[in-house]
Amino acid sequence: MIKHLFKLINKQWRKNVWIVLELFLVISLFWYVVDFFSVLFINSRTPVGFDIENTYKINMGVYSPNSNNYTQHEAGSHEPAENFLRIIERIRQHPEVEVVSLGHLHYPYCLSSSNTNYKLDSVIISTQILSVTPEYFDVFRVKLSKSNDKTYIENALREGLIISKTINDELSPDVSLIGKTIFKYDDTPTFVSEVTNPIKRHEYSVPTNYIFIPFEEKSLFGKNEQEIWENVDICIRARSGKSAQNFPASFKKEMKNELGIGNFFLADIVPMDNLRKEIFKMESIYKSIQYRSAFTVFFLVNIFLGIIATFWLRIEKRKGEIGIRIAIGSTRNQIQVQMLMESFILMLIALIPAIIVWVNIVRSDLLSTTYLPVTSERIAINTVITLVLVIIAIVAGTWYPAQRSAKTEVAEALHYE
Amino acid sequence: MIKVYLKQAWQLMKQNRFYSTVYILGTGLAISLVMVIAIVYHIKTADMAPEVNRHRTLVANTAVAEHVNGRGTNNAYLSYHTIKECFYTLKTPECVAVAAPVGLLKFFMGSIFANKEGENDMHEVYLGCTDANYWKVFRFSFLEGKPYSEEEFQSGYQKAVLSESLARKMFGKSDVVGSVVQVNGTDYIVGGVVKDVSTAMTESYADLWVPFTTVPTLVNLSMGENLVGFFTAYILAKSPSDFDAIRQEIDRNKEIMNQSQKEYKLKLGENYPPSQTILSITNVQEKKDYKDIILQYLFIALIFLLVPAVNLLGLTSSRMQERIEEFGVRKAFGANRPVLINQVLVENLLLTLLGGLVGLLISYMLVWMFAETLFSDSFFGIEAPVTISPTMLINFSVFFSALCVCILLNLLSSLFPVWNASRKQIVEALNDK
Repeated sequence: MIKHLFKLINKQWRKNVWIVLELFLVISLFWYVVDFFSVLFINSRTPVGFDIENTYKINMGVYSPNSNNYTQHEAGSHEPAENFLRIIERIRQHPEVEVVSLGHLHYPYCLSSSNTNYKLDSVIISTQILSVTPEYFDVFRVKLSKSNDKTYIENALREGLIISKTINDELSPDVSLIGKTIFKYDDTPTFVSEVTNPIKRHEYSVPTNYIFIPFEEKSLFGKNEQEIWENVDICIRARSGKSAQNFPASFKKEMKNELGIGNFFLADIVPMDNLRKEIFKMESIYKSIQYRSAFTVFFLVNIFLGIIATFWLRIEKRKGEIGIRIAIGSTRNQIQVQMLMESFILMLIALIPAIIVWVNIVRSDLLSTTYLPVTSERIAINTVITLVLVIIAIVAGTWYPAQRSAKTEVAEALHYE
Repeated sequence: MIKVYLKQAWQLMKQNRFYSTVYILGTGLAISLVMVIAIVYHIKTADMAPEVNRHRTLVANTAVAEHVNGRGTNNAYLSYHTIKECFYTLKTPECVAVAAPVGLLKFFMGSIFANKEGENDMHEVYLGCTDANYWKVFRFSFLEGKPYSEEEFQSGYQKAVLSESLARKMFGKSDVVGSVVQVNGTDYIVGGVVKDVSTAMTESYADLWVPFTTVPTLVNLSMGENLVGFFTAYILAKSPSDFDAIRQEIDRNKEIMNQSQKEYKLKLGENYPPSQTILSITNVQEKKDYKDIILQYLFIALIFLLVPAVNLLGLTSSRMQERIEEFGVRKAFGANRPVLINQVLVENLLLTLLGGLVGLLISYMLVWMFAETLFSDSFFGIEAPVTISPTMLINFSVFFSALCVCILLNLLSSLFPVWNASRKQIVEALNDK
C-alpha cells in the first residue's frame, strides 16, 4: 500500500510540490516557535525554592519636604530610624501577622539586584547578594540543610555566609562547603556557615546563585526617611486560614493611622503574587506566550486551509480513479484511510529537510538560553509538540475531503470521464 | 480592456465558489498579520497627538557615569546637573523639554496618590514631572486653562495639569481650574485640564502633570558625582537634518562638563541621542540596533506572507491546470502569452483585493483586541488599558501599505503558475484533459 502511494505521489509530483513546500516551511518554523513553551514546561517542573502563599510586601510612603504633613528633622537625626523601627514593631504586634522580615532587595521576584563575584580554586562565579534578617527564612520557607530552628538560623547568619545550593554545586561539586572557606573577588576569605535548598528567580528560570548576609538595623540610624525608604524592604507572612481577599484591605484600614509615624505613611500592602505577575510582565513572558500562541494558531490554520484545499481539488480530479477503486472492491473506509496515509507521507517527505533546518537552528545558537540551556529534553519536546500539532491539522484538513471521496457514487464517478 | 477583464473575473469568481472562498480566506489571513505589524509600526512612529513632532525629536534618556579608575559605572538617566550643563544650553535645536519617565517613577518614589483637598479618597496615579517646554514639544488638547509657565516652573510654583478622566473621577466634572489637589500630601492648584492621552503614547501619557521643580526628591536623586539621575530630555530640532549638528553640540558640551568632573565622567553612546522614531521601536532591555529591529520586522512579515503565499500558489497552480485547455483555445484564436498572463493576474487581483479587505478588517480587530500586548511597554510597566482611536487605524499610510502587500502577494502567488501554464503549445493544450 505504501509503495503504491509513493508511486502515486511521485507521478503527481507537480501538484504535490506546493503542499510539501508549505509543510516544510511550517514544520521548520513551528519547531522554533514552540521552543519557548518547551522551556516554560521543563522549568515549571522544578520547585522554585520558596513559598509565597500568605506573604505580602508592605510599601511605605514618604512625605516630600514641600508637603503639608512634613516634619523637619536635623541632618543625622536618629528620629527617622526610630520612627521606622516603631512602625516595624507595630506591624509585628498585629494579631494576623505571623513573621516580619526586613532586608534590601531580598524578596522573591525582586526586579533589582546587587551582585558580586566569589571564587574557590580557579572557579569564579557571579552571585546575587540578599541582605536579610533571620526571619526571612521563615517568611518565605527557605530551608537550610542542618536545621530550621530560629536560633540556629540567627547564629548561622551571623557566623558566616549562607549560600544557596547552586553555589556549592558550582564551586565544590561533591563536597559540602559548610564550615569551609570561599573567597571574595578581592581574595578576602569568607566562612560558609550554611547551604540552602536551590532557589530560582521565578518559576520559569533555573536555580540562581544567592548569598545571604545579615541586614543591620543599626545601619538605618542617621539616615533620613528617603534614604531609609530606598534601603529597606518589609515583607510579612500572615497567619494562614485568613482569606487572601480580605487581609490587605482590612490591614490597610486598621493600620493606616498606626503606621503613619513621622514622615512615613502606609502606602500599600501587596500580595507577593502580584510581584510575581509583574516580573513576568517585565520579562515579557506573558507577551512571548501570547505572540507565540498567535503564531502557532496562524501556522496551523494555514496548514489546515492548504490541506483541505489540496485534497478537495484532488477529489474533483480523481473521481474517475476513486470510482475504479470502489468498483474493484475497495471499501469506503479503505478510501478514507488511503487519503489520510497520502497526507502523512507528504508530511514525512517535508519532515526530512525540516530536520536539517532544526539541526541548523540549534547549531547557529538561535535558541534562547536565558531560561534554560539547550538540552536534549528540550529538543525532544519541541519535536513532539510540532509533530503532534501538525498531524492534528493535517488530519482535520484531510477528514472532510476523505469523507466526501468515500461517498462517491461509482457509476457517476466512472461516467465523469 | 481592464473593464472586460474585471467583468470576466467577477463571473469566474461566482462560478468557482470554493476556489474563490479559499483564496480570499488565505489572502485575508496573510494580509491580516502583516497589517498588524504595519499598524503597530505606524502607531509607534508616526506623528500623532500629543506626540506631533516625533519626526524631528531626539530623545536623550540613558546615560553612563564612568569612574575614572575603572572601578565601575553608574547606569541611569540624566541628572538635573547634566541637563543644565549639556542640554538646556544647546543653541541648535528649537526647544529642549525635560521630563521624568512616568512608568518608572513608582519604583523610585513609591506609589503616588492624588486626592481632593480635605478628602480621604485616594486615587493611585501616574505622575508626569516635567518642565514648561514640555508643553511646547508635545501638543496636548487643553479643555480648560493652560499649562504652567516658564516662570512658574523656575520658581517651583505648585501648579498641576489634570487629565480629563482624573478630573472627572476626583471632582465629577472637568471644569476644575483653580481647585486644589493633593499629590502625596503636597498641595497643587489646578491650572489646566487636558483631553485624555492614550497609553500607546509612551512619552506623553500620564494622569496628571506637575513641574518637576516641586518634587525635590526627584531633582536631588543623582549618582556618579551628580552626572546621572532620572530625567529624559526631548530635543525638538528645527528639522531632521539638524540631528547630527545637535549630536555634535551635545558632545562638545559633555566634554566641557567632564573637564570639571573629578571622580566620574559622563559617557554617552554613539549616535546619541537617538531620534524618537528609532527609540520607539528599539527595546532598551534587548539592546538591539535599529537596523536589526527593522530586519527582524521584515523577516517576520516575509514569513507571514510566504507561508500563505505557498498555499495560494498550490491553489492557483491546480486552477491553472484546468484552464490550460481554455488557454489553448484562446492562443489558437491569436492571443499571445502576455495577454493571457495579464488577464489571469487581473482576475486574481480582484480576489486578492477582496481578501485584502477581509484581512484589513481582521487586522483592525486583532490590534484592538491585543492592544495591551502590542503597545504596553513592558519595561516601564504602565498598567492602564490601551485605547486605540479610529484615526490611528484608518489613515492613508495604513491603506497604502495594505494595497502594496496585496499586490506583492498577488504577484508572488499567481505569476509563476500562470507563466508556467501559458507555456504549453496550442495542440498539447487542446488535447490536455
